Amino acid sequence: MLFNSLDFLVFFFVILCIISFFKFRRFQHLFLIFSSLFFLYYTDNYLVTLLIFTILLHFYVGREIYNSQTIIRKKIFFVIGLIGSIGVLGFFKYTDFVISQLNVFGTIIDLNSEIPLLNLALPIGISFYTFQSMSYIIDIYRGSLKPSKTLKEYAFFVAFFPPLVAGPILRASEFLPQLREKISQNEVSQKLKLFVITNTNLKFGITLMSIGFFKKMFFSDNIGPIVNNIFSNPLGLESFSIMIGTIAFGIQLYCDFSGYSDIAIGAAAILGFKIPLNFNKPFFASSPSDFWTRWHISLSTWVRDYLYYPLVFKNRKSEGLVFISLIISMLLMGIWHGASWNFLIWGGIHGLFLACYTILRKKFPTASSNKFFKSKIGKISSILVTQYLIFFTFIAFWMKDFDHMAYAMKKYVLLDFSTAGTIEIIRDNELPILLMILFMILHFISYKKGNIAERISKLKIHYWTSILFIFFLSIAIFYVGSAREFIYFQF
Amino acid sequence: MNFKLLLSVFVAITFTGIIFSTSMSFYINSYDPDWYGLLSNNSLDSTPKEKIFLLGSSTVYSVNSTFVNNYFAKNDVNYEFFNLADMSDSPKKRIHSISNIISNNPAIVIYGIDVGDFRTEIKNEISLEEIIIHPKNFFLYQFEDFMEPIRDKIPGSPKDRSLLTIKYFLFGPQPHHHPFINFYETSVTPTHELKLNFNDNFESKKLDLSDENEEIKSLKVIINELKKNNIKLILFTAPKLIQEVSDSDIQFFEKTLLTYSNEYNFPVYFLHDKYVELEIWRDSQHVAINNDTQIYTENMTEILLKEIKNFAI
Amino acid sequence: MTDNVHAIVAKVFSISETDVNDESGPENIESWDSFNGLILVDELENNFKIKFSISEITDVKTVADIKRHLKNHNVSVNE
Repeated sequence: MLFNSLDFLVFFFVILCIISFFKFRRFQHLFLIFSSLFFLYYTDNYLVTLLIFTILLHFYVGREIYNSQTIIRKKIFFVIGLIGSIGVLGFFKYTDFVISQLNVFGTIIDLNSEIPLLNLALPIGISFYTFQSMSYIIDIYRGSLKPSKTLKEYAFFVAFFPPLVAGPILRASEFLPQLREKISQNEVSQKLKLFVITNTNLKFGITLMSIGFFKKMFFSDNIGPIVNNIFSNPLGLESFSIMIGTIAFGIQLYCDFSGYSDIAIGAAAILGFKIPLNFNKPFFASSPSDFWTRWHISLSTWVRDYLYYPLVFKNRKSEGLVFISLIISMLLMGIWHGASWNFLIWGGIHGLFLACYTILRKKFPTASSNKFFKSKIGKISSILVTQYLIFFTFIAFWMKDFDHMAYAMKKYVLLDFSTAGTIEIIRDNELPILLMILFMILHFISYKKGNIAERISKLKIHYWTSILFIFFLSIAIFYVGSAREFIYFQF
Repeated sequence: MNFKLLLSVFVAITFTGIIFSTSMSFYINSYDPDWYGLLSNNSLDSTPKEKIFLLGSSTVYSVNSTFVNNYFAKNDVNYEFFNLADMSDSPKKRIHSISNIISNNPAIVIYGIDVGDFRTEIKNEISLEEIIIHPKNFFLYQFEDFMEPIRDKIPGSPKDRSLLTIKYFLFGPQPHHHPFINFYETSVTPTHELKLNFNDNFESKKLDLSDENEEIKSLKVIINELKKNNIKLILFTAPKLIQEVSDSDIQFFEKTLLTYSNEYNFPVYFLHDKYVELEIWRDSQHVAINNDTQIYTENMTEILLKEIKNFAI
Repeated sequence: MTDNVHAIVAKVFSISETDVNDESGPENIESWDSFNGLILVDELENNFKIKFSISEITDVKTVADIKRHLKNHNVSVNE
């Protein structure tokens, strides 16, 4: 079910009505689990069984790991769980990629037979819910998490529909306690929570959802055309045109994905759940590592906690190990997005940036407290340099064709300073260009002013209504005509 | 749930709806009521050119009017070509603007129609099995009666309309040859990719060429109106990569059009499957727009030249 | 050697000690990334002569979490 469709709005509204009219804990929890399954079934049909399989497997494995008396038994169940999640993900997402690589290799060594591709449909949300399930069993294995007591609770956690198909990736340690009645700040009772839709939550949730729709349908969908124009055939374009394309794509991707996250976080907030932030003004990152504390945070912290830290933890003084580990982590982050070379290249470049930046920090530990970097000019220039590098990587994220990618990257780095073609592109794409400028202004305001959604939701009701009206009207008037899929649905 | 909050949301949505629908109908009714934008600079010339209007949905918008007009100019053809394609146009929608079209006095109207538009919903046939396997279709089906009148009012691309309206306010009426859909270059997508990604569900609609079908009724009204006003009509089937109906349905459609062609005396051309072998598609419904896909425009020009000759006789 | 967690946090992330409280974490301290996070681990381990496990490290979301884990290592934390 697309968030930006009437179907979803009806679905969500019906759920809210039922939840607020039937105030029985047991019923509410079961009802939300089945609604979540239906949510996936609606678009993905029988592939919902994969979600159910993942839930059952990890719930059982998690409990067994926790109850195991011996280390061996613990390890065995842990490995079973990992094979289960990686196996399902790998089979559906990466088999064809591996087969096609083998076929390429086969032609090189003159094998005359080709392995046929499987052409499997990619189950929606699989990358998100398998990562979520893996973090659950890893945490139990490490001893930092107690397994969920009932299957009901665990199923609720994995299947919860707002973040189900495109994140944020939840952590059991943060989410499971929210299913229980609160006793005090840090304590929960054994009792399941009764869902009560409070005014504050409803107002905040609606605001955040509206902002999400606004980002997606007003900005992302309307900036999309200029990206396609420039990136689908970049050969022969000027440097500045390529740059406009990368900036447009960066903004499009951000609005698309963070818009989706906003809708998910907002919908969860209405139901009374706090889901962690997924984006935090990424275009004001002042270093490659700062960028990854601001962009797709739930994935970057996942990779950090479950891959990078384990790799470097024992030998964190070794520069070589840190270097290699960062690159491996970012390669995984790349391939997570999809089985194709361009995502690997994208991840690899990010890995290189991070690794080089980390080595520089090790070599010059005092540089960051240097007067220059503390000054306004220092800060602005480090933001600009960082963003120049970050936007460079977006080329690899979009372009699957190597010739195109190489050409665009060359033009992005070696500027040719010609402008005739660029001016023409700007003239042909007035609206996307204007929207990009408007986006930058709004992004700057939200960087300076902090949590915009919360501010809006605290406004008096008539101001609040007017702001919603502005969001809705801009969406309607600039609606491109058909619901476009969210970019992150394919991951 | 707090009803004051819900009421606020409802108020915001209602206001949006009101302003949206007025601004969209403003475009049709108030914006450029005489289609001033169509009066090209030529109207100031001492010898105004005769007008040719291309009508149809987005499937015909890739016909490049600049190319056609340049060709006419080079070959001393005293006509001016306008591409009036509009998003998701069909006879039923087109009928609303037919008086505008007639009042602008075109000499020739060339109309591209799509067999897919002549399908009607199969009612009362949704089985329990269908509901279970495709809950989405059930939803569509249940809300169809409610949604259809609303959807009819919403233009194919509100964005393009809003932009035109804004431009009209800012810069006044301007002559343009593609007034309803923004005309810009689009690139070709490999055909095999398009065929792979195509999995729309056609089951719920079937071809209906009886006089009961609103689309057929509208098409006949349009044909009659044009005839009454002495405007020459050329009908053609718009090219598509993938059709939504079976081959036998298409044959039936062709036959029906030929009957009309005899009855009302206008030429008809079949282009619907003309380019399926070529790599000129942006998606399964639309020919891309760039220098490599000119064949569509060229064929259109040939048809026009041929018919201009025929009409002259 | 100091037994003040806030002072160590402030030093590692080069911010003022008054800006550190129990709720401080990667979400509100800009320089708190994986690199500085590991430096903080080093500093805390050297200071209190303990060894953290990896699950303790990944579990840390705020300064309060650090204090909780230090207590588990029988370190008395100066509040």
